[in-house]
Amino acid sequence: MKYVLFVATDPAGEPTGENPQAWVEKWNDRGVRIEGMPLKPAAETRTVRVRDDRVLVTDGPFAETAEWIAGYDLVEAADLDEAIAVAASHPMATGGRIEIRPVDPLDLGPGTGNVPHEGDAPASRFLGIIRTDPGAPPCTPEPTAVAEWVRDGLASGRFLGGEHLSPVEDATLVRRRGGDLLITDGAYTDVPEWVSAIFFIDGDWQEAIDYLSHCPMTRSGIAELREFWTDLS
Amino acid sequence: MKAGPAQVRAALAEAYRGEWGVVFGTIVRLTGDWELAEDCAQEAFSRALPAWEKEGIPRRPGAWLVTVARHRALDVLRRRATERGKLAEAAALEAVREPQPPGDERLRLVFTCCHPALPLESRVALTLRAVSGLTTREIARAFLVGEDTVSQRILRAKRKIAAAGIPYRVPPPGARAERLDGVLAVIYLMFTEGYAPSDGNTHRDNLAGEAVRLARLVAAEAPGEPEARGLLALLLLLQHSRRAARLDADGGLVTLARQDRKLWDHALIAEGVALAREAVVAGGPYALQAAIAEQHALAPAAAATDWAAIVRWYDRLLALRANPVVALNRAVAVGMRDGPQAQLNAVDVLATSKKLAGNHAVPAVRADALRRLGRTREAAQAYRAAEAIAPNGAIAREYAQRVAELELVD
Repeated sequence: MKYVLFVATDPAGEPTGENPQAWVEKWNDRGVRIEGMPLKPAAETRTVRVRDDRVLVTDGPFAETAEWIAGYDLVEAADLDEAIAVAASHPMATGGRIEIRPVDPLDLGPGTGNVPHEGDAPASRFLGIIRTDPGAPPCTPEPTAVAEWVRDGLASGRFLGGEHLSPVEDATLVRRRGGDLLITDGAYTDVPEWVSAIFFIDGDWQEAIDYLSHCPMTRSGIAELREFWTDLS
Repeated sequence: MKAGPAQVRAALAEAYRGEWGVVFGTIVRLTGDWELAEDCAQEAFSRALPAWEKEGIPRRPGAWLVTVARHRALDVLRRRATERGKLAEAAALEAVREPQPPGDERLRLVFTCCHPALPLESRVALTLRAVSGLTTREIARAFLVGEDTVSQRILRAKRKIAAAGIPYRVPPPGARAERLDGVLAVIYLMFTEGYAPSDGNTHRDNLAGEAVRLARLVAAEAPGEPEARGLLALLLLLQHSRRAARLDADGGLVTLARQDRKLWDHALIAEGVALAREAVVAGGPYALQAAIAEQHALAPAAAATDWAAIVRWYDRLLALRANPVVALNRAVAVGMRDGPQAQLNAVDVLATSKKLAGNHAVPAVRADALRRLGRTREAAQAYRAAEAIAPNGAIAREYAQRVAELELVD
């Protein structure tokens, strides 16, 4: 099974000062980790919503939360126990917290697959984090409309791929505190706006915002645009 | 050999208690489908009654039930495969046709139902349904919640097991001790829910009995784990052994010191003591609590309790992990060893603990010390404070009675 790991900060974490590189290499070598990237601080987020055909763009994350997503990894594990073992061995399980979410693939038809890329990091500049919004009028995006948006993005080079996640009820949180491994039901932060999908978006800020504003999911949800750390050397 | 209806019913009831989890678990293992397992287990047990009346009770009722459930699973999977024209069911079909030997089926089921990634309430409800075979109605009555709530908790657990890929197995040695802690915590929670004075709710009493059965199962099937034996020892020494003496004729709570020790079950005490002594060598928290329970269980009268030994066990327990509730119990033991002033001093130190805020035992322990010091009015006042925050009627009545006794003295 495929799982997305959200590597999140935690004010109650016990920082190790350890670099995650050894973790990346270990799980890459075992063929478990597929890809992943750290993200620039949440303060640099732009948030996009579309309500009644009006595009609302705000600076900063959708809400001020004590914990925020600092990176993601995609892994292919035998089962949840293996995904937990992978998450538990990450230095941020101790310094922060890690949410494990099973991938729930959306079949949008031909010509909508992820763009293949070299190496273990997506080639896009941005990560689009799509959240549900319980305050927005209910609206279920048509799969055909989403497929059309994906095909447009693939043609224009804005869209490089994405992962649709199974509901937040299937989330598992992993932390290490005082040497104990804590495994609990739930997401990295307790807000009703849970993450439902992630997209790899390319272009400059304005191009990325424009493209996300046409995403059918931003009509009923919230899209956060986060920049990857690409100059890691 | 033909059997009478009464014999068949008795055999079926026994098979239900002993084999429900095996039948359920076998189908989960073979198909990975929890809904199908529920359906097949129910089908097997409902077919057993007429079949056994007609053909006699099988020599191995468990094997008979598993076979019927397996055939049912085969039928359903074949039908699905035809209807959907899919090959997805083919692998499951093959597994059901050629099952592997069952092994520790119920232990796998317990570990899966108690997986830490499931919400705690769902773990408890699913364990009682899948392993113990309690109906949602029985679980609902035991926990004083609606049947819908219990169904939702079970459904939520089954969904997450499937969607998040929670494996059906006993965890490998590296993760086993850690996961066992979670299993024992679920059993202990069931027990404490069932042990709380229940105003005559027999469903809650059954819950404590169910917890003891699960503890026996885990202790028997995970023999290398001293804490599993420690928990079983603790439940035996606390529960069945004192059961008959805990409530008076009116359903009122009888405190340990006032219980009629002749009513205790001394066979269970002997079993619990043997387990506790073996388990305490490893020094885990359940075994240490069992060692404390052992001191009470072996004292011929309340006045003959070895409080110095109990304080020493509490010290070892607190050395494992600081816990204000344990510290409060230790304060009582210190009071019994060194007198009421020592108890008052110890409880006043703990009174500022945030974790104990709102805990009725804090004013009650204070009240007890004040009473023994002859500070009657302060004691009555403290008992009233305890009564005001008592978690249920039986405990509140106990405190009210203490107030009444003190007012007679005053």
